[in-house]
Amino acid sequence: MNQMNQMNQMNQMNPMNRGCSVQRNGYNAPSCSCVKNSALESMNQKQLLHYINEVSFAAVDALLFLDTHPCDCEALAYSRKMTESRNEAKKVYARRFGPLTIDCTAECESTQWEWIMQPWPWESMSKGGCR
Amino acid sequence: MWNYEKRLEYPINITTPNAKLAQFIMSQYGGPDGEISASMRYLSQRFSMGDRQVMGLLTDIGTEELAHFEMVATIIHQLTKGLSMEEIEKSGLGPYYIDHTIGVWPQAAAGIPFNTCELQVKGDPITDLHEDMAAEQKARSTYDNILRVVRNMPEIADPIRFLRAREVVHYQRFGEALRLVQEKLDCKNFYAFNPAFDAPTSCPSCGN
Repeated sequence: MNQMNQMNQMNQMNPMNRGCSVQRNGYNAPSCSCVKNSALESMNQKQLLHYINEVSFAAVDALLFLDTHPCDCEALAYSRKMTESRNEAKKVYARRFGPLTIDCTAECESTQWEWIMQPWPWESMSKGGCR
Repeated sequence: MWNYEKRLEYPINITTPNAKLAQFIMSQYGGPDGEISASMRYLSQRFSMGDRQVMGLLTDIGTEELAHFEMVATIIHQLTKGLSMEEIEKSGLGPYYIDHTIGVWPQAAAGIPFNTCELQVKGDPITDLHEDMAAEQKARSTYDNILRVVRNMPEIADPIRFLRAREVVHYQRFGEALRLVQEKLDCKNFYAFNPAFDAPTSCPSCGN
């Protein structure tokens, strides 16, 4: 039962053990330059949100690549760097302009519940939003 | 479990409303190859995928599709906000307006309500991954059709191009996922049985 053996292998599969010996140079990382914390402080709200969009997109794209190439060290390092930059920027954004996620609400310095004070993403700039 | 992030995956700022384009682009919200169809398909297929690696891919792409669902809704909202009654009546959006005013409701461009019959969860990994690859290509074709209409309107075309590019990336990843699943089967016959249902206890082709 060759197929049965194949299936047993499938059930026992551990993604981290797959493909490690295969050299993969396939990941074409989105160009995205991380900035230092001090640079985050000097950005205005629009610039900082734009930066968060960039590093977040890079993190999402690397995530999907890693799902099918779990042993690509270059992609893994890139993913970690982007995720770290994203978390850092999200914290700065929450403190200065309000939280983007509910787990950033503790970073806010405001005395009011900023989650509902800031515009929602679908509100356009022309109607008083800031995106 | 999901957490909401208060930003769009790609920014959208549409300054000129346009009822006709809202009706066209609505198809990618609730139409046959739209974003909610994509998200429901992938997030539902996870449970019978069998392969942990592909379960991860379905989770992550299904989650990104929710972000696209929100992007398309934002395009519709910004294209309909501030329309005059004259524009609504002349554009063909009238029947939609009667039922939904300018709320965002999932339907196809021709007015057919969102329907789960547009997607399939077969419970067979190879069948489902082929469905996913086809779905990404169908969505890409729809975005191409939209782009031919909005090509000279950068504030609409720009986010649509982003969404189109993601369909191409997802297609690539699903193709890799299909290869990963096939590599674990007998290459002489990938379709002998359903690896998520029959193995390892039975094999319909030989009765064991």
